[in-house]
Parts: sequence; C-alpha cells; structure tokens
Amino acid sequence: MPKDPIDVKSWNTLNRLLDQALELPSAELGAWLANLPAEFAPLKPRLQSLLANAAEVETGDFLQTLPKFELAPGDLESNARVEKSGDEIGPYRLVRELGSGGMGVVWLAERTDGLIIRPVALKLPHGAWRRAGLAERMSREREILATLTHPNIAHLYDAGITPQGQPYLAIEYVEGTCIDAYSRDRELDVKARLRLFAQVADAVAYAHGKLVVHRDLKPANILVNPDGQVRLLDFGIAKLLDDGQAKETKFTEASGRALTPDYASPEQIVGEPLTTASDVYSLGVILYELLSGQRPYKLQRDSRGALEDAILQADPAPPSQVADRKLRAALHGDLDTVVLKALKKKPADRYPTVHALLDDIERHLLSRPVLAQPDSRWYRARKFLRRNVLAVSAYSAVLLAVTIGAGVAMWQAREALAQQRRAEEVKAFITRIFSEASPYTGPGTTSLTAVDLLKQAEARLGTSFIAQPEVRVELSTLIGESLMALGDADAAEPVLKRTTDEAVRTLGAHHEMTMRVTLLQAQMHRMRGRAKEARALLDDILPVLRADPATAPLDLSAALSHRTLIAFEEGAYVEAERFAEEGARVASSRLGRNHEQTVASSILLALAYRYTRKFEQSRDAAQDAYQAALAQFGATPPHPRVVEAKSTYGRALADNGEFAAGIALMDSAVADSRVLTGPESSQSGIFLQNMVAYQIDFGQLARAERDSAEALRVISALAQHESLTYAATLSARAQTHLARRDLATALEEFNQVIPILERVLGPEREFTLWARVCRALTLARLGKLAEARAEVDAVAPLAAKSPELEALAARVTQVRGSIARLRGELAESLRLQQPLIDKRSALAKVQRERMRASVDIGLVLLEQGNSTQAATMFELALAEFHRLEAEITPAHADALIGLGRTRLAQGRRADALPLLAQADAFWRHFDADNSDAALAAAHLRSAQRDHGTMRAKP
Amino acid sequence: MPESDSLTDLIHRAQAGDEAALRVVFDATYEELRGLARSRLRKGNRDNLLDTTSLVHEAYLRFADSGRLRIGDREHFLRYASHVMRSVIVDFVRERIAERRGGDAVHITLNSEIMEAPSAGETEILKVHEALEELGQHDERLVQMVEMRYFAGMTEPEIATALGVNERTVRRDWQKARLLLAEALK
Repeated sequence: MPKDPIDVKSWNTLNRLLDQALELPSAELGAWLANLPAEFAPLKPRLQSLLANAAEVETGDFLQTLPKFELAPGDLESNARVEKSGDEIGPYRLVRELGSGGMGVVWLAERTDGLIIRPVALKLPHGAWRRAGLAERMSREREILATLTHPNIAHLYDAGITPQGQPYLAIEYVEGTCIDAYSRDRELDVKARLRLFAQVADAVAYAHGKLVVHRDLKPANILVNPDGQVRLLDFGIAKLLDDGQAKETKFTEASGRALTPDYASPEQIVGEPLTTASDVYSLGVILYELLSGQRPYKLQRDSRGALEDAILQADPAPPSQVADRKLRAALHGDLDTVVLKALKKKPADRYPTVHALLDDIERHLLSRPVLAQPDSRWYRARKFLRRNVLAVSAYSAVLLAVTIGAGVAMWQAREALAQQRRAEEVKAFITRIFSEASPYTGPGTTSLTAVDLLKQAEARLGTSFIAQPEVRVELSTLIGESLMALGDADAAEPVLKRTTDEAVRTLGAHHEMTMRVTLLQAQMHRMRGRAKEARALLDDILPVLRADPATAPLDLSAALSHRTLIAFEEGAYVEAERFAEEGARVASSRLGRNHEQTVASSILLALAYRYTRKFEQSRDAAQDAYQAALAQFGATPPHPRVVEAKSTYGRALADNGEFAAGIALMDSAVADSRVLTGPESSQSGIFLQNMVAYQIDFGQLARAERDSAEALRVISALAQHESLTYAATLSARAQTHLARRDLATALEEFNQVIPILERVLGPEREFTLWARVCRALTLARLGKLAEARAEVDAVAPLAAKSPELEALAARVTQVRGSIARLRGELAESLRLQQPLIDKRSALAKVQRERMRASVDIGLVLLEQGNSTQAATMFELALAEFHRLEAEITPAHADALIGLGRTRLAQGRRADALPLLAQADAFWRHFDADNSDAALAAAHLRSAQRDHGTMRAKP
Repeated sequence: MPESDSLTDLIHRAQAGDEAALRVVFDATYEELRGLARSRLRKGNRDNLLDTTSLVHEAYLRFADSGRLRIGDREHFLRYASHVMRSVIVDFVRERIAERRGGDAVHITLNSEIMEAPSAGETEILKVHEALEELGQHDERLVQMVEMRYFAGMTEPEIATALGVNERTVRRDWQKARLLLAEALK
C-alpha cells in the first residue's frame, strides 16, 4: 500500500517488481533486492519495506478471515415485526394503516384506556431508528414538542417506547390534502397561495420561538383541511429520529440510500448542524414551488448527486422565469426577490428569521414594498461609495489632498476591528448561554454559528418568558449589538427597531437602556449610509445623555463621536469640531486618558481640527491619541488603534511642516496596515496615497513616484474610476509627474482626472481647482501658453471667493506670474508675484508658493538685467529649498541654474560653475532624458566654454 | 427507474457507467445483505462471527429465485456483492463504534474513551477499508480481490472464476495485496 502518494508510472513498475519477487522463494529475496538494476533504485526502499512482511504474510493467517465484530443493539432487534389492526402499542390500539414511508409505518389508532376518544396518527419508526438512547431522547424531546400548541401545528400527544422496545409517536390526526395538491386542485391564485403559505410560515416562526426546528419541511408534511386551515406535521421529529441514527457513512451516502433531498438546504447537504435558517431555506423551496409550479433547480440529469450539486452551487432562476406565462407578471419583482432571498446559499444571506420572511409576504399581500433587497451587494457598494463621496466633500483643497477618504476609511477599519474583537467576546458569551439553555445544542452542534444562535435567541425572546422588561430589553439589545458586531446588519436592524420601541414603551424614553439601544440604532443607520436617520436619533438622545453625563459616559462619548462623523459627512466642520471637542472632553474626564474611546475621540478631534485648519490643535489632539493608544495597547504587535493614531499624528506633524517625523510615522502606519489588512487592502492604498502630497512637498520625489504608482495600482483594483478615492490617487500621481517635470504624462493624467473630480466632487471645490491650476502650470511649461492662461484665469475668480482658500489663491497667483514671465510680460509677472514674497503665512503650502515665486522673480530680474536683486531672490529661494525639502528637486535645480546664470552675468564664473554642475549632476541622475536635463547640461557646457575661452586668452 | 428492471439489466447498465442503475443495484443488494447479516447474527450466533460467504451466496439465490437475477450472472453478482458486503460490514462497524460513544450528548472522559475504543477487529476492518480506498486509485482489480477474499470470504477458485483469471494469478494477487495491506496496517 503506497505510504506516500505514488504516480501511476511508479506504481506500475512497483507492481511488476512485486510480481517478480513473489515468484521467488523467500530465501532468495535478499539477493534479488541487492541485484536490482539501478533504474529501479528509487523504488528499492519501498520494495524492501513491503517484502519485509513477506514471510509473516506467507505463513501467518494475516487477513485470512474477517474478524469478529458485534452488531449495534438496534440491529439485534427483530425488524420483522408486522403490526396488524387491533394490535396494541403502548396505550394505543391500531385501527388502520395510514401509510408507510422511509422512517416507518403510520397507523390510525385510538387509546385503549378510553381516556381520550380522539383518534391519533401513531407513527412506528422501524428498526433502523431503534438505537440505544432513543428512549431517553424521546422522553426529553417529548416535553419540548408537547409545548408546541399552535393552530397550524399538528399536536404531538405522546411519545414512548413499549416494553418490547417499539418506539411510537402519537400525533394529532389530521385529515387533509398536501399543500401543493390543494393549491393545484383548487387552482388558487397567487394571493391565495401566499395566504396559505403565511399560515405555514407563522407556524414555523412560532416553533422557532420555542427553539424547535422542523428540519424536514416539505409539502408532504403540510396538510390543508377542507376549511383551508394548514396543519404542519412532524415538527421536530426528524431531529428526534436523526439523532439516533448512526451517521451515514461516506460509503452509504455515495450510494444514495438516503431520501432525495428536494427541500434540503445547502448546510443539510454538507452535514452541518441545522438551524432555523435551514427551515427558512426549505420554506423558500416550498414557496418557489407553490408560486411557480416548478422546483428551484433544473437538473441536467436526474440523480441525487446532480441535485446536491445544484443545491450547493447553482443559482435558482427567479420563479417568474419558470412559471406559466400568465403568472409571470404577478411573480416578477418583489416575489422573485423574496423567494430568492430565502434560497440564499449562505444562511446569513437569507431572511434572518421566518418572521422576517413572513413580514415581507404580508407586506406584499398589502401591496407594500418588501424589505428584501434584490441585490444587496450592489446596494452596499453604492452606499459605501456614496458615503465616501460625502465624507470627503470637504471644503479645503489642501486638506482634501491629504485626507481624502482616509478619515472615513480609518473609521470603518476601526469599527470593523472593534466589532471583530467584540464579536469574539459576544460569541463566547452567547455560545455559553445557549449551549446550556437550548435543548438543541449539545456536543456536535457547537459549530452552530453565533449568528444562528443569536437568531434563535431573538426568536425565543420574541415569545417571551421573561417578565422583567429591563432584562428583556437588555438581552435583545445585546442580541442586536452582537448581530451588528458580527456584520449582519440585515438581521440587526429589525431587532434594534423592535427593541427601541419596546424600551420606549416599557422603560420610558429617558431610561438608560433606551438611550443605549437608540445609540446602537443610530450607529446602524450610519453604517448603512443613512446619515439623516442617524442624526435624528442622536439629536434625540444627546440632551438626555448630557443631562447626566456620569450615568453613561461611554454612551455619551460614543454618541458624540457618531455625531462628529455625521457632521464630517455633511461637510459641517465647525459643528463637527464642537461635537468632537465635547466627545473628547467627556471621554478623557469620565473614562480616563488611555481609554479606547478616549483614543478614538482624540483621533476624531484631530481630524476635526484639520478640517477647520487648526493644525497645531490637530497635532496636539493626534499626539494625545497616539500616546494614549501606545500606553493602552503597546507598540507591538501593531494594534489597529495604534496604527490609526500613528497615521493621524504623522499627518498632523506633516501639516505643521514637520515632514521628516510626520512621513516616518505615516510610513510606519503603512507598514502596519500592510500587516494588519494586507498590502492590497484599500486601507493600505489610501494610507500610501495620503503620504504622496507630503512627499512632494518634502522634495522626496523618488519616493512619491514609487508610492503614488503603488497606491494607484492598489486603488484602481479596488475603487471604481468614477470615485473620489481613485481620482485623488490619480491626482496625486499627476502632481508627482508635474513635480518631476514629466509634463506630457502629467498633462494626460490631469486631463483624465479633472473631469472625474468635477463630476464626483464638484467643479468649484478646492481640490478640483487645485488640480486645474496644476494643469495650467503643466500647459505653460509645455509652451501652451494661451491654453495655460485660459485655464488659470478660469480658476482665479473661484479661488478668490473665500479667505479659506488662501493656499489655492497663492498658487493661482504664482502660476499666473510664471505664465506672464513665459509670455515675456515681465512687469506683469513681477506685479503678480511680488506680494507673495511679502506674504507672511504659517501655512506650509503658502510658504512653498513664496519659494516658487522667488525663483520666478529671480528669473524675471535676471532677464531685466538686475543681477544683484536676482541673486538675492535665488539665494532666498535656495535657503528655503534647503529648509523645506529633503532632496534636490527640479524646482531646486531651477534655482541653482538661476543663481549660476546670475553669477555668470556678474562675471563670477568660479561661483557659477559649481552651481551649474550641481544642477547638471542632479538632472543626469534624476532623469537624464528630460528636456530640462538637456537644458541644465547646456547651461553648464556654455559656462565651461566661456571659462575655457577665458583661460585660453593670454 | 421502472420497478420491472431486472437486477441483471441493472448490473449490466451499472457496468456501462449508469450511475442511477448502480445506485439501485447497490441499494437492493445492500438491504438484502444487511438484512441477512442481521438475522444471522441474531440467531444465537454467540461468537458474532459472520459467515459472509454464505450470505453473499444466499443473497444471490434469493435474487435468482425471485427472478430478479439471471442464473448466468452469478459471477457478476458475486463480484458486485462482495463490494457491497464490504460497505455493509464497514457500516456495521461504524454504527457500533458510534453507538458505544453514546450517539449524542455524552461528555467524553478519559475512561469512557478507553471503554469506547474500537476493538482490534473493528480497527482492522476500518483500516483495511481505508487502505482499499487508496489502493483503488491505482489498482481496481486488487481491491476487488480483497473484497471477495476478505469481506465476502470467497475461495480462490471462486474468485478466479468471478474475475476470469487463473487461480495462480489470484494467489499471487492476494499475496501482493496482503503485503500492501500489512504495510498500511502497521
């Protein structure tokens, strides 16, 4: 037997060699092995190991007979018993046989003691189910099943085992027709069928409330009496019998002994534990069939295997597509959506409860829109995009360039990770509670998902055995919160809604628990992109929470955080700042400096200050957040909260001109994010993208080139091109190319990105305008001066609109001055740019414009023959480049060449040459093919020639 | 699948690759063999040694008597029935082990684990079964050989006839199979 996988060729060789060896007497085997030709060497160890057993196998009785084995006790019982009319089974006398099926025989029977006259359907499971333990199981389950009293559920009266070992189940005898035959025979219309189905669903929902899962829902188990009343048979019985049955072996499964799983859910097919979600699925199949007259899956071949494959993989066609032509219009739309939602492969994608399914059916019957969404993925994607766009429809262009998407993305990541961690705790908690509380969870069902358990728990709470309203509200709040933590917002929403209503009703609007669940509901709305609803709820509870901040400081601070985020999304930054300040104050004074919520509040406060351009305060808040996060969580391994705080602090430092420290922190946050969320995650992409603008400002153009390319690669795989995230990334890339003087590429990218920005952000937003000014400069440098001027003139009036746009206005002025110079309008260029030199501003962006203007003015003065002043301007510029930038950039090289030319003009060639050589060396290293490189080389050569000429003179 | 299909036809169709037919043959044979085995073991067979050979033959006779199997198809049937016998026995063993573990809801302690451990015989059967699953990927005939010899207890001449090979080949294959299984059982 191959110990390791062996390929076919080797196997065949091995087989042939074994044949040879077995022809030999065992004494000669050693010699045969030793003389084995070299080509068989790889097989030799294997042969040796096999033949080592040869003597033993030859002489012993190895595998000569099948060993003894015992039969399971159930197999020892007689299964030849044949009941006949008049026989007594426990307290019942058999009247007539009603039918027989896979699990046994069903008799119409009556009680022998005459205590109760009504006839019963007596089920007699046959031998296959008679296993040890059935008796205990039956007595345990009987009590649970007997509590099911619902007009649409056939009652289980009794279950037991006779002294002879015959199990029996006495069930309410129902006269009626199977639901499918009933609907067909009476030619019921769609609405009548839905009403019948609603009875079924109502009964199943009721049973789920008692934690009883049917597990074998099918039309044959759903009878309709002549009055149109539905009765469900065999509730919980499949479970009762199944548990006793030894697990089907792979062998028997493959041979298809079990019944055809027409109504089985995917999880049933793969043998996972069954939950209420499986019943939702089976109800979906039944509804599909009731409405369309067809089963959900069209099979290529009629076999169990094909059906199982279909159940696990195939997407059923909408019922309207397979139904009779005359039914199509009635089914198309809502009913298609409802049925397909019940038939989702993943339990979590289905209706969370049968109640939810029933609600939609009833809504449809009342001609109201159903809650199921035809395509939730698209729905969510749309919501996400909308949220992103809103979140970044910021006022300030400068800030936008660096914060696009990141604030929100970071918060989403933070929330997701917090949820994940909370989910673990909740999962453990709930699993513990329900494995003790539920009769259906023992070993073997521990793999029920937490969501399943929560849904069960929700259903159980719905049918209420808890008298104290506070406990009820608290439990169902916990369930709602847990569902949300587990990411099942669909399931959480109705729970939170109901709980809020109940809390208001039973505890009052101002109760602590009411506040808590309302806050959760607001959070849920916000997560689903419903800022308005969330804001309304938060504005309701904030006054109450503020009135007594000591009672629920965490809730108050969290409510303020959510309120801050909503204000961000609405672009109301002043309001956001107010909420963020209050939230941070509450958190740090009542929860402590290092509390997780305090960290989160401080991060939000830093973001708020950045939006309102209070950069120093932003830095202080971010520093608080980073220090607190480090104190709370440590530096390694990277904790999500630390990473967020780090990135925020890094950006705040860079905003304050501390580029080196800021970029180092941002860089480290990117590395952490790659570890935490993967290098291809949007968070990693956005963090990278965020750095690019600072790198450009800091003169790290090689890194900007590399990181902007990587950011664009990651983001374009994740974001639609018609999105702000993509546009911001492409814009950063274009700015990089402009700074690197790759003008043709920059122009192409600006032309691509500006229309996107105008559409997704708006034509008059600072970020859009900033890109347009940069395009104007690109055009000017390419010599397209008329176009350049038209572009910058279009932007100028918009940039002058608000004092908030100080940096943009400075940029416009500088670019206009450059264009004027290039057009030969020297006086105009000076007039425009002179004020920039005199301008005092704390903004790093404005300082950079002053630096650029210095170079430009120097060039104008040089052209005007004013060497002395020109030299002053270039020296000023160079000092600024040294102060502000880490590396030499093309702009810096311009200043070097400018000063070099000035020195030449002043006759100071010795001073000029090193400057020009430095610029030339830079360009040769930076981008030797660039036309500016050629220009730099030309200036150097010219200077050297002059120098040489001079020296040649005697 | 119409009821009137004879087992013979089904076996032929199963051999031609008809999965539905294979399933029906398997079901019928499985139920028959399982029922026979149970009744044998129940009838005061104290040492629980199952004479699987006679079971397979008895099943054949019962099918033949009822007209569901043509007499000439004895070899086909025995070959196939041996395969089914294997699954009957493996299922018996697995059920028995599962049963001793208590079906459901028993906390497993160290003691009960020892008590519930499969017997040496049960372990052997399951290991042989697993080894055959793997061997089947390389050599279907060796697997059939073991099924007939070990699970159905057929003699070498019977196997030679059923497989259409000479007895010497059967003996050599059986020895080869046991070498391979001995390795797997270690």
